[in-house]
Amino acid sequence: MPTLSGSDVRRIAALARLELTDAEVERLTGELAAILDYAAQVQRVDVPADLRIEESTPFEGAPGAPGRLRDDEPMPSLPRAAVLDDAPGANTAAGFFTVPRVLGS
Amino acid sequence: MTTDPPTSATPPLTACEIRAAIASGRSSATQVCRETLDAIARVDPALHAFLHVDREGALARAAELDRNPPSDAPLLGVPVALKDNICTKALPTSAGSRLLEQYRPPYDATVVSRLHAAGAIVIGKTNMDEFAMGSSTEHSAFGPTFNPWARDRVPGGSSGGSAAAVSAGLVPLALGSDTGGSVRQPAALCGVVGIKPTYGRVSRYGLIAFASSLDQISPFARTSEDAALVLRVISGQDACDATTSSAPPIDAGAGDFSTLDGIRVGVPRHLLDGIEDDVRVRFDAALAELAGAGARLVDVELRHAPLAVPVYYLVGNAEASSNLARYDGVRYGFRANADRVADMYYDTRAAFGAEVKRRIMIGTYVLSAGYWDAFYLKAQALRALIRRDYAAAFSAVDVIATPTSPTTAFRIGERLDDPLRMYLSDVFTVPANLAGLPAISFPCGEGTSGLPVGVQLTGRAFEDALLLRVARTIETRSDWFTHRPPVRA
Repeated sequence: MPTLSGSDVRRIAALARLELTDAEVERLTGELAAILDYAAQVQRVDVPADLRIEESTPFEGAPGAPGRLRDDEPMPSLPRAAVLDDAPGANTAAGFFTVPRVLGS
Repeated sequence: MTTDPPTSATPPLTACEIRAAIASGRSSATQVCRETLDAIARVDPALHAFLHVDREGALARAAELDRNPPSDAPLLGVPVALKDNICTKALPTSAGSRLLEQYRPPYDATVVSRLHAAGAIVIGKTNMDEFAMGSSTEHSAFGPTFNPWARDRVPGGSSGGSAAAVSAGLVPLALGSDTGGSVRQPAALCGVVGIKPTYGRVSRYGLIAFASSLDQISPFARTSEDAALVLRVISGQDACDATTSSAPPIDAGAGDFSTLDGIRVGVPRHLLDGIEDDVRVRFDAALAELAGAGARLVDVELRHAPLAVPVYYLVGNAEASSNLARYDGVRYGFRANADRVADMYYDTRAAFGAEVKRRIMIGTYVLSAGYWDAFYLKAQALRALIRRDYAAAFSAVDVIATPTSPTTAFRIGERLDDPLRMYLSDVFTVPANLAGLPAISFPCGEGTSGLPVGVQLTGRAFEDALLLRVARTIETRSDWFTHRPPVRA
């Protein structure tokens, strides 16, 4: 079982775009170590050779064969104005989402 | 705690009774709606089951139903509460999170459209653990919900507001979502019926995603007949959710509810170590009642079920970390002010609560390079083995009985500092989500503490109706479904 350090927690947090305080890092290091240690028991179980990973799909074999993609045909979607109504800082007149500066200082 | 509000002696009406009273002219949608709103105003301050109540919208809808009653309206004038992760055009949909506190979805979830078409009145939105992550409703950003049976106790979770609202008689029906037991466990802890349908029975379109391969919208009711009624309305294929099945809607309204002759009930006794005494006593009473109705009890083994909780927390949190990546402040919800886009992401996501951050971290870890094989893929393989165990067991039995929860309602605050212990609340409920199977929880009396206990029956895929039939047969033989909590309408 891998042991977890504070720098591991910071690395994972960066992947998830979470900024953690020092107190959060300290607390999560202990909590995640306990949870992952508990979860590591899955690694001790043998998996039969004939097992297919698709068998884990909850709707495998269901009537109507769900999970297939529909034909890619254009059809109406939500009205742009209704969607932009919810968007923080949207430029509704121009019909855009907006974000702060991406490049440069 | 303040003193308990006054309670009435007459039992609240069921959905079937409300529909009949309105259809016959003995009542009206408006009258039922006013009484419901009054009951919520009187009782909910003691429970905090609701986050939003749509007084004006509900009354306007009731008046419209009274003016122009639709011809085929199985839920005519029936007030329904919705967990606040089910999108409603007319009402906020916060998912119990600061990130969506101001969110007004531009569309209704498919279940909401179907409820409307059936004549139901959406009365309000109920409290929940943030993004449905929790087993107690204490992880709501807007404060906990209190259990109507004892207000120092949690109602369970994550759909605790919906469970408490139905238990207290504020509404006859409510919808929640069940990812690892989030409807069945609060149903048990609040003494009501909760049924998670087979995966793919009910559209997830408009349900705010937690773990997409596990989530299923699921109803609460006080009677199995009401649960059957609402399931028939909301189940069935939906073009907006590719995982819905073409199987016809769940029809459990009619049938023989006098006997369980020929029904084989499997009991996995090897899983029952460590349950509370109160739960064991009531579970044994439920088994005796099933046997008394003619069912045959058979020992079964679910070999990999003891691994269901770790498998669930690996698979579920992997999916959660992926689903919650969308909360970046760009398209909807909360946005933190920042000069640069990267800072906006971090500052916006700082608004997640502690439990949500914890789960995103676990999910990101198990999907990260170097750990994906050992954790995520291994958990998926075990998920497949858990499905195989059920397939083998269901060659010998028709349903499998366990307690719904290993304990009765625990005290508010008791497990907040021990996430792993909180996760173990889900030991009996997560296997059905992992296997995609239908499972119902219904009341089987109270323990010595006076708190309700639920029994869970799990069935074969698409045999949802059999679970409702068994529950209704027990309902006709016992008075368990009629027990009411001290805090009630």
